[in-house]
Amino acid sequence: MLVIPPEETHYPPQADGRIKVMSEHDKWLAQVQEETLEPTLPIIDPHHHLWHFKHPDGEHRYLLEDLLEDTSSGHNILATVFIECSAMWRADGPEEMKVVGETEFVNGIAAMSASGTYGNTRVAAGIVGTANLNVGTRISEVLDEHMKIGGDRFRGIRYLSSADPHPDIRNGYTNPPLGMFGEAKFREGFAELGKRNMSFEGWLFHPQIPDLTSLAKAFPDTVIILDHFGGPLGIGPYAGKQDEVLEVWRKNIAELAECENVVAKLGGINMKVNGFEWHKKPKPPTSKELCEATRPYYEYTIEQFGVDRCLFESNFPVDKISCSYNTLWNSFKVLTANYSADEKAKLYHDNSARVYRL
Amino acid sequence: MVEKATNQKWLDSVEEEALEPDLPIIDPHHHLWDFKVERVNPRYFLEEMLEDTNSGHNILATVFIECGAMFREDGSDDEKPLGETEFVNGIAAQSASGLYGPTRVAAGIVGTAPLHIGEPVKDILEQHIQLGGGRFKGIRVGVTWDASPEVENHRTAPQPNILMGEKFREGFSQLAHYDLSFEAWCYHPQIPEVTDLAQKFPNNRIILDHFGGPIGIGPYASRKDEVFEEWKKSIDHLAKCENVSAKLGGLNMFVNGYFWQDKPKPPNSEELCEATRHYFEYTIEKFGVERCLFESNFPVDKLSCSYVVCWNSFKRLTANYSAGEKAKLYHDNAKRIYKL
Repeated sequence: MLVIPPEETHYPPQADGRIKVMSEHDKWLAQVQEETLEPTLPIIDPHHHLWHFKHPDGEHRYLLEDLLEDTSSGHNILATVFIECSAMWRADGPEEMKVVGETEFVNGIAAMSASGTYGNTRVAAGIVGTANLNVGTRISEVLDEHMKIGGDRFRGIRYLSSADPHPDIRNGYTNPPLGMFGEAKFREGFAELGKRNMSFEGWLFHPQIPDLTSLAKAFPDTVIILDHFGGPLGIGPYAGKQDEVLEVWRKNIAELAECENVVAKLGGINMKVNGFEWHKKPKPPTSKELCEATRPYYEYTIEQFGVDRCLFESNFPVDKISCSYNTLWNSFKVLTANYSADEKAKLYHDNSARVYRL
Repeated sequence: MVEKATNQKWLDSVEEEALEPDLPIIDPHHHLWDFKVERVNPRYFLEEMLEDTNSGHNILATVFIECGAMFREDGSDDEKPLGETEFVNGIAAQSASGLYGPTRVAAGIVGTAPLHIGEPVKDILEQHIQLGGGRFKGIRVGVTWDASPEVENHRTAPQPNILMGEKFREGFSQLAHYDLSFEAWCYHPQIPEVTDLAQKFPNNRIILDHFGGPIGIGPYASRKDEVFEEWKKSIDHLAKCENVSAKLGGLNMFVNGYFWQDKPKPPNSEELCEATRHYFEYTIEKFGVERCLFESNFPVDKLSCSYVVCWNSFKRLTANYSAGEKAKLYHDNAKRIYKL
């Protein structure tokens, strides 16, 4: 993934002389340079990952300093919430406990950030880990361990349920069965969340939204956060059918929004699975292009959930496949250009602070 | 991505193959930090550490010792050191994921806590244990202090005779309750205070760092033989306390006064071994092979030599030891003492 570029592309030369090597993808992204809009508006980024993977196709690294390079690129990011991504699971020990390694790893990065030596942004001020809720009440041990080790930062569980029968669509790494949210065992495990004041983070594809609605109705006291608009699909059998998809998605979202215990993240719609194919273009989109292409999803969600139950999210570095951090938050700000100061405060900061208890 | 030491070129001018490269080792003393510009590795994180532990010797696991890294910026002063334990446990978790090879970095963690606040330190100890994910093993409070202005006192600016303080001892006594060890880092004139502490608290386990810090600079530079004689007497008394064990290493710092760092080339392992042999041998003689453990004290000792040369110097010293003795000094004692 990393290439060794000639001298002049070393970028940016950091204050302490540490040099970051620019990748081919960084260069592609750098073709679009924008002034940061409303650069002082306080933001909590409630959705990003941290990871280091060594795959056969290369090394993927997004650790504290990689994130900081993004969060310090113009917008005023006060704090962030880490969302699980199967990083640093334990190699040894009981199977169900392996996921606790991720919380330890992220809490370590949060501690580095909280030392103040890496600037003012508090990275991973909230931590959402994972746990296999399908094992039922027994999962309580794993949840307690997460909380113990998370240094008061642990907030909730995400357990990937994204699944589609079509072979062109890659299901979540948990390999979830369709209809998982309806299973008795899963719900037994899910019930343990509420007892600990933990939230549940729902990542699924748009045809599955009704499953989440049914879950939300069954557990009205558990906070559920819908990730990435419920994953409107735009590839495989869904490619080129954006209008049809939008129609189904709208119906599903309207029903889900009736559940007062559900909040919706606004973002994460620039992944491959969404089918906009920005990454295949010679240049990345500008914030205006990004905003216009995805506007219906944002506006309908805000309309249905209201400004008190929506929060902008970066979903970085996943969405970095399509745009830079600066361009992404600019696209949100283009969307909310005519919103009141109060509405903006909620969408960019206050709702995240409330939902994740930061 | 890996940051090289500032003296890397100089270190590289002595190249050695690792001796007895299969001998299993636990390195029970090293640090992890960032922005320590006064050290040869201003950044020493997991990957910098692994460059060293993977350089030839067979390092199975390591124990992190506190160094004032990543203290919390906010919150009460007493709780600030908890940030270091969180940070190190995060690195330990990265290592335990298996992604970075078989060495288990920071399998044990020794943090710090304000023992001088007395009994209320219990709350801090409990939080360390909780945040340390089963890895938290003990407390170090650096007490290095000397009257001479030429000798640098510990970064925490300790009072002289801190180990003798009543409040300190009240806090210290809590450690036994949690089965946490105490790591003593002092200068050689202070060793009798460690002995007194060990005698008064026979149920507390104490580990002496770096031979009790024989000073070789300032007023001590011209009296190396005298220092050695005084040190011998103190070590002799301390070793009588069964609750004390001794780390063998950490003698290549600036304060020790060998000035290796000023030479055109770093010492090879033979030179290193010969210059410091008397400290190692006397300590092993007094404490016995059951209560001694080799330590790297990296990256502090990297001021003087590479990781390969450091452990080679130990292996030269123990060239004629039995396999059983070596197993204890390089691995088993560290495993037992830090409960790894």
